Amino acid sequence: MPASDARPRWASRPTRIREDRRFVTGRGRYVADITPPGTLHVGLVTSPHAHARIVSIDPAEALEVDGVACVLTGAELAKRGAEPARVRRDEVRQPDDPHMATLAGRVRPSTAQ
Amino acid sequence: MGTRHRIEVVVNGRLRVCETAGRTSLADLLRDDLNLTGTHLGCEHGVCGCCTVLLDGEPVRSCIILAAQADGHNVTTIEGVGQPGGLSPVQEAFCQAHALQCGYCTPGMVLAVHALLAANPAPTRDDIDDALGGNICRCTGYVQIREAVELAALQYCSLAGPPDAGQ
Repeated sequence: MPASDARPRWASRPTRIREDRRFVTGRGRYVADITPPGTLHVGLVTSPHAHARIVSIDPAEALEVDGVACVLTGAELAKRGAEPARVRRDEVRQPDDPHMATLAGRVRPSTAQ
Repeated sequence: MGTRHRIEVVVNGRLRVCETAGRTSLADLLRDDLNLTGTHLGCEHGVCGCCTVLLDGEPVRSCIILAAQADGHNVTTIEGVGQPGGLSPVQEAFCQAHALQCGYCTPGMVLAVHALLAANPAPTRDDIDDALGGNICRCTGYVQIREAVELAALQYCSLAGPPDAGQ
């Protein structure tokens, strides 16, 4: 043990934090900064009705949108074994209840130079 | 998909020509088209200040500015601050004062401080609080951030002068 008045070697001394440099220069890498190749983004299509039974869903118009790779309804999600927690299957019970999920890649091709 | 515009923006000193939809925000243009991901999106409605960039030297929230509004203007993002391989005195002071933890709000803070010191090289505590009032930090708190600004101001006093923000 050093004498009690000796200055500690490591404690109580200012030091730098190693990772700060990348954060102050904007080079931190957060989840939203990373887009692995082939990434698709989910968009939920919501009900225009306050309360309605879902009789049928025609995804043709959604599939025509540039970049849309796949359209999933609640019924299809259930068929694939997924629990369609957010996507309604048989009825919508409030406006903005989602009844269809669209999966799309990058909609705008990058034209920046 | 709506109207598209060809815009010319000088970003960090380099002329960028982009074709963009009229509804695209400046933040999305910077992050998605120019791959400048140091500009962060927190609230996406102009409250948190994470997306702060300098437009002709003035701090703006890039999430509520349209990319098309930046046409013909100068934009400085965090990637344009400091010299290659070196930190600006503001960035240096943030490290020294431990003015960050997760770092998500830091780019917006640093740019807001650059704009402050360019306009006011010797800010009072009230000036600092006022200038950073639109930038929310959820982990460090504001005491060390304020200390970092004071440290950077002192540093600029001993150098030639305040930074030339956004030019």
